[in-house]
Amino acid sequence: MNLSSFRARGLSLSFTFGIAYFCACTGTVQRPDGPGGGDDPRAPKSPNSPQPPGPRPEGPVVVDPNAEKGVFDFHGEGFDGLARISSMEYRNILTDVFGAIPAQLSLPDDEGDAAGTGFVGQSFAMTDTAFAAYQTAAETVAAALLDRPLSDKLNCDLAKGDRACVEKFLDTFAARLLRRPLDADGKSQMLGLYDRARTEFTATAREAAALVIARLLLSPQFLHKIEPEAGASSNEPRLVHLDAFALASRLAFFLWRSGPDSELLAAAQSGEILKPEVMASQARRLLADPRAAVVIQAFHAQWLERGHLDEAQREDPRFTEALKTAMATESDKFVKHVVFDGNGGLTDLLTARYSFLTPELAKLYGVPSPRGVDQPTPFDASVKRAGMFGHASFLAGHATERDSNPITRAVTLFERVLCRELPKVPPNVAEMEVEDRLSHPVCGGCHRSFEPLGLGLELYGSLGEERSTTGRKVDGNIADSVEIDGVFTGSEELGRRLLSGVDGPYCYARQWFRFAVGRVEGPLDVSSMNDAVEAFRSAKLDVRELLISVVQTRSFRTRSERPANEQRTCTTSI
Amino acid sequence: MSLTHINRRKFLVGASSLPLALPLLPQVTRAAPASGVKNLIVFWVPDGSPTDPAGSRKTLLARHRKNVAVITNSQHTAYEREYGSEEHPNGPRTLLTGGQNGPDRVANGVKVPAGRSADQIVGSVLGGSAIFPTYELGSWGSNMKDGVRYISFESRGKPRVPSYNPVKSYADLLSGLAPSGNDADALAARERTRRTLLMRGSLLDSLVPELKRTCEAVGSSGRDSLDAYLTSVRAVEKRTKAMLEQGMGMASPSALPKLDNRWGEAAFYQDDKNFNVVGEANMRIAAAALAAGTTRAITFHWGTTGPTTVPDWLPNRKLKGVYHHRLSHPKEHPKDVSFADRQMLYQWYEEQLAFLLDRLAEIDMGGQTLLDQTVVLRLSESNNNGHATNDLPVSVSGGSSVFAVGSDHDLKGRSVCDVITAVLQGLGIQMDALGRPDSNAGAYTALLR
Repeated sequence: MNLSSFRARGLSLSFTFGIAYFCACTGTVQRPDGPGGGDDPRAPKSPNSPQPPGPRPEGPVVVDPNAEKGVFDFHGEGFDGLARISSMEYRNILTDVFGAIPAQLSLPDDEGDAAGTGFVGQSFAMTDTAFAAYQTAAETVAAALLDRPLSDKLNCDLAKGDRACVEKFLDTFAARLLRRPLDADGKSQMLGLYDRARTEFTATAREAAALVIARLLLSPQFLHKIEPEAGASSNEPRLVHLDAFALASRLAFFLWRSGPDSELLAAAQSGEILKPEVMASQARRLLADPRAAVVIQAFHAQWLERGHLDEAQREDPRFTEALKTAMATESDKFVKHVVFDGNGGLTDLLTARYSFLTPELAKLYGVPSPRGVDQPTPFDASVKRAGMFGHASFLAGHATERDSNPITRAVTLFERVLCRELPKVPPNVAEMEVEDRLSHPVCGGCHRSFEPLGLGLELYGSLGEERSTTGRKVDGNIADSVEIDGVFTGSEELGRRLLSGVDGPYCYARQWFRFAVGRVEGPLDVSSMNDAVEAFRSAKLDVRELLISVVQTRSFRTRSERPANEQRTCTTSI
Repeated sequence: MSLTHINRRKFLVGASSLPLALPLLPQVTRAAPASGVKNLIVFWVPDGSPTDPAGSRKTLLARHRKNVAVITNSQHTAYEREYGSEEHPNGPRTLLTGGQNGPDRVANGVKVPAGRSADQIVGSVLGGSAIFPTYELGSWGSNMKDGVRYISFESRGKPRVPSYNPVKSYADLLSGLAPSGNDADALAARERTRRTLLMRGSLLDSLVPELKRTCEAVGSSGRDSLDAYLTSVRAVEKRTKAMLEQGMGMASPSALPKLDNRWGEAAFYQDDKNFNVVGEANMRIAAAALAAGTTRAITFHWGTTGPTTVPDWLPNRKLKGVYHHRLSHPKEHPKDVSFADRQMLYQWYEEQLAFLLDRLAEIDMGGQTLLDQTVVLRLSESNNNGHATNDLPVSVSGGSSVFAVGSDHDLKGRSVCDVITAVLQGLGIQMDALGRPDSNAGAYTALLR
């Protein structure tokens, strides 16, 4: 592994922003040919300069997953603060602990997942508007819990709000909410709040109880992902090991987007979770829970930019809302089936010749009507479609209103599936036909390196339907992508080509790694990533085994700490 | 929902807040004497409007003609200087900041210091004693899924996040208010509110010891985040205290907007079909909050530029399911949606502006209406023929004692920053120019009486 190369590529992260967006607007992508780009000798040569695509360098290439809003939009390596729990996580924790929660929760809207649609754009720092929203939400939840029959868990009537019952409430639920036991000081302060409300503000018992519950839900330990350390890493002083409770939380947030359950907390309490084999067994347990399926579906939706399908508009009258929903559902069911009911591997994700179709979608694909929407529909030999790249959710999501869009398909495959990097598109480029830009003396070099990835999928039209002609005189002849060079046609061939090389599986594992640790990888993550990839290969590309290996890596079990000269003390900060 | 009448309330504005604001604002101060106009609403509409915006605006705003100055031929110069005119998603952030939304830098030989947006300037100078010096709200529909883009910036890289949830806006701005009057019900309601606010304050106090304990555990890297948490708690604490001191007897609950709690669900307020309902609720809340004095400067966002919101609330069936690109890129989609159809959407926005002006005009502030005390700046980052940055659809309404409303103004290509500067001056803020030095020519003083 060439670490310096790795770092230099990592530094160029922010320069890929905008390319896919620009492509969507113009239908063309070109190599930079003005000052500061391409082969121009005036181009800056600093490590921050955008790099033209070329042969795959030694070691992994770092691309910016934040390049486009909506996919892997996590905080990068530079952020070392305490992330807030997202609104989705807030709801999930409360639902797991208390069952149903009020639907009208006034949670912060600045995270992009307020509707529970994904894990994108999680904010890092608390703001006054966010805190005010949490305050309102906490009061709403507190009022609802007082009317909830929790007596089977508390053996007392919380609605009456008497002090002993409030104390029992804290003993029973605080650890689940805070993801670690409430210490004696904390409990004393909360009960002190109860007493003060009763005596100083003449609050009713019920009002005082509501105040304590709201206080718990406004705790920094609830709203932030606090990760105390359990000592420095033996061979890397910048890294500190997470303590057992923080590790349990990280695992639960990764696989459930929620807090740890009682069993996981018990493993943390005993310290067992710190043992790699216990971590692995807990990960297997969490993966067996339906909550994990939702997370794994969401990963794949973000990986292949499902959000574009939500926004898609087509002139074709077949493109109804029902068909759009069927497209998204197909991919979700397919992923769940492959990972949990099938062989669990990337091989099937990319090449399986079956899927989950509604009658409308089956008609679009030209296959017989399905036996049932939950039954896999096999594709016969005449169907030129396989794996996720053959799903209409991907193909229609990367198309224009009237036609396919080979560039957006190619860019997605190049950046997200191969983890390669494209330079920023220069402003004011002219639109050109495919043949012209591929043969263009300035633009062609770049375009030939990635655009064939989309041209090889020209078999599929604007809705993802199979078609016999495109009117274009070019095919998917990949020229400069090293491992997968050559002509290909259709999704199955693309899937097999990717699986036959190193880049495809490696990139897939990398994307999961980022999803797990919530940031772009850095130099200190190289060994962890390689460990995960090795385990992935050994397990014949089994996705579940990949996730289990990721949570055992050093990167997952540690966090970075600032150098001594940049450290702050609590005296000055709080 | 009903909003009929809100009593006049007097609040301490300006003088008491100035000593706090001055150290941070050496170049921006309140002029003396203060004008009678003390509130700002920025009414922002994405993607401009089709050709002939002035004609349609004049028609739609006919009943407010004496209160509106329609401004034509202004230019979004700062946007062009910063980004060119292609990357239209960056248009909004350059609008109220005059392009000073980036770091301190030299761009094309021009020194561009980092700055904040005009509404934040107004909030810091005029809103010091308000519970929320500024408040950001609006209706965004499904744009939430596409990520958010902001127009209001506290400083570089610190955008103010709008509230799209009317239940949250209401809770922030109005729920702490207690009724005036000396009847038993009003007295009891004020006592209940007082006790609630005191308990909230007590709760916030109790967070600090936990923060101190947590700080020791998180290591150095987490302490900045805890600082931000503590700052947030303090800000909310300050508002709670202000509400306790000023909110008692502010407004009758019967005069406040009534909301359906269901509207607080994301599934409701992010549904494009409810775009109009959510907007109306938030406009009513905005008017009530200005009347109560809980805020002084409001930015009202209708979606975001490049919106994924589709105008499904409109009766025009041709616009059902049609989103941004086909609506606002007519050159690329000349046959998709006719001019008349597109016009209907933008006329709808003008009708919303008229609705807001109606709400402000019907609130009696004791000899003046709330509209007399408020200036409404209608802005967009582009006009709607391929996101051009010329002839922006701009109007200034209200504040008729200070602003030259009731007339039209042809800016002949001057920067929209100059209009914004004039609005700030009309609010009594001493400020010569807003934005990048190469993007303004000083206040457009013809807007001032």
